[in-house]
Amino acid sequence: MTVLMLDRLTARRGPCEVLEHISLSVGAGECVGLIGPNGAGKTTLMRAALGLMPIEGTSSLASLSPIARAATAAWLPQSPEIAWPVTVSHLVALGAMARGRSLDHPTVDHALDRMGLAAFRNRAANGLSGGEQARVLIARALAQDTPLLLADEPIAGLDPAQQIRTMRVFRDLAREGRSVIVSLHDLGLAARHCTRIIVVHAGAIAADGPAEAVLTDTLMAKVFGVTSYRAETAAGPVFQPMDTVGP
Amino acid sequence: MSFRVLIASLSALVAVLFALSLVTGVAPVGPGESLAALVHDDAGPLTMVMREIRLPRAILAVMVGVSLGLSGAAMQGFLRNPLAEPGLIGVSSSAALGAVLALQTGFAAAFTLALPVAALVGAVVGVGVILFLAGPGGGAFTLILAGIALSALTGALTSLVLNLSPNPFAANEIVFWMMGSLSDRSFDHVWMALPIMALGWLALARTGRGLEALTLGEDAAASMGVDLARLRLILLGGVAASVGAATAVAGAIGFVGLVVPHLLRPLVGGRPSRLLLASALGGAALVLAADVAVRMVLPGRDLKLGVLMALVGAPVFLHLIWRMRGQP
Repeated sequence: MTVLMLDRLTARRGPCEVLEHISLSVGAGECVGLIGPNGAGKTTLMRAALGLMPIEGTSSLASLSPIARAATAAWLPQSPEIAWPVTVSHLVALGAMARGRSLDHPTVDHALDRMGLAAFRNRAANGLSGGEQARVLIARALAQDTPLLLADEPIAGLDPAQQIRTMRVFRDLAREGRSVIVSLHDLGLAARHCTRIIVVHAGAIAADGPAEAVLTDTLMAKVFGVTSYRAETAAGPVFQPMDTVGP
Repeated sequence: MSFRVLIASLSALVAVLFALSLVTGVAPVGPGESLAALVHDDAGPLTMVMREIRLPRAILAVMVGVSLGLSGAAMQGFLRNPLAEPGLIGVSSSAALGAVLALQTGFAAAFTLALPVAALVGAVVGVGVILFLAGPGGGAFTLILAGIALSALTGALTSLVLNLSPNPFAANEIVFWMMGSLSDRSFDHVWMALPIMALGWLALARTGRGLEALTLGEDAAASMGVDLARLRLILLGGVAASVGAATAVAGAIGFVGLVVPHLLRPLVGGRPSRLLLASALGGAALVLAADVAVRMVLPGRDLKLGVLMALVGAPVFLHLIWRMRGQP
């Protein structure tokens, strides 16, 4: 079943074309790692797909009403914002509110547990550390309980253990039949936890497929300008950028 | 404190201050006698004083306080900034300009409600300019900038009117009006302002869910089913109607919309939707208390409500800033 369909999606920022004719579809049960250098268009791709900015072409989400879209896809923006000193449990419950559910809906407790936040539930959310706030915001998106989750660099501020735990949560969501699109810079975590890698480069899709087929030496040099080391271990594939190439 | 207890306490406070406002005045009569005269028509001067002067004054204090407190909470929630206040979008300064022009040209003397009507026209023009500048496509930042620009322009035009006023009495009248007051108001003012304010209150009461979602920023709120353009329109319309009407009947009264939401936010757990009702009641209590105080502190000297509010509000605000030092 397809949860997201983009057809010749084009988006501009001012006069500049940031995305050009992107076509792709994401099915249920996929955990898609969206990778690419800074400024490649990863954030724009997700915002345009959600219809949060003017687009040309079509996106199956952008054509929905705001309410129907909130029931289909949850969005976790890159820059975290918690304006007021609300409790962690209330902040996470905003995800349930977005679906028109009560603030004590079971999905709220489930999301808190999933992100290991049960002990924080009565703390003021904006008084937590940056990494803890990031987890609270992920839990908020999980509490929206949608078939699709789009997350923009959600693990950027987390410690290694929390990065791995969070990627496991995303992978588990995919195993439950939901779909996740997550942008990230840790190619090793992307290779290990995502079922599919989409490489965005200069506003277009440079490669799309399973990690081992996508993350080739040629692509790493062309898109990221790095050489890389890779190995197969019992714990899964290891992928590590090593050195820059070119000027 | 639970939300219900907070709302019940604030309501009780408003009721007590409302009664206190009714029994405060220059006439040397006891509280019991005053309230008895209000209920039972004794065909004497006391019933007239109670029904024609003090009752509309107390009702207007509640209406103006609800408008300013509610609008302040809504503006702070929408802009996600504890320093936002209803005057930020330039509605009150536009209303003031309308009133000042009416006083200067003599239109204010044309009929009883000429002054507030002129102020309302000013507010409507101001909102039109704001919606044109920061309408459906504009973000919070555009709205703040447009509001600052409009306030600066209307403030300058008000100063120009004062500057060029050939009539010192008109200039004096303008200055006093701009200080804000609830004295010498009648039920005519209540009936003129109430429908407009009520529309504004109803609009603002509908913004709660959107303001909750905006806790997470505009992008997240939009993805959570909030139509931001519609929310902005409802919120601006609500603030404009309630604050425009409040300025029209009471002049410029600052600090209520800034201080009240700020004081009550910790008591509602920071939740923007709950702050709306709490701030409406808190605003009513503060304006009632201040309007009682202006009559008690300097009886017979016509101390202006806006002056007292700033004199009390600014130190309270300084105290808050003092306590907030060092907090993130």
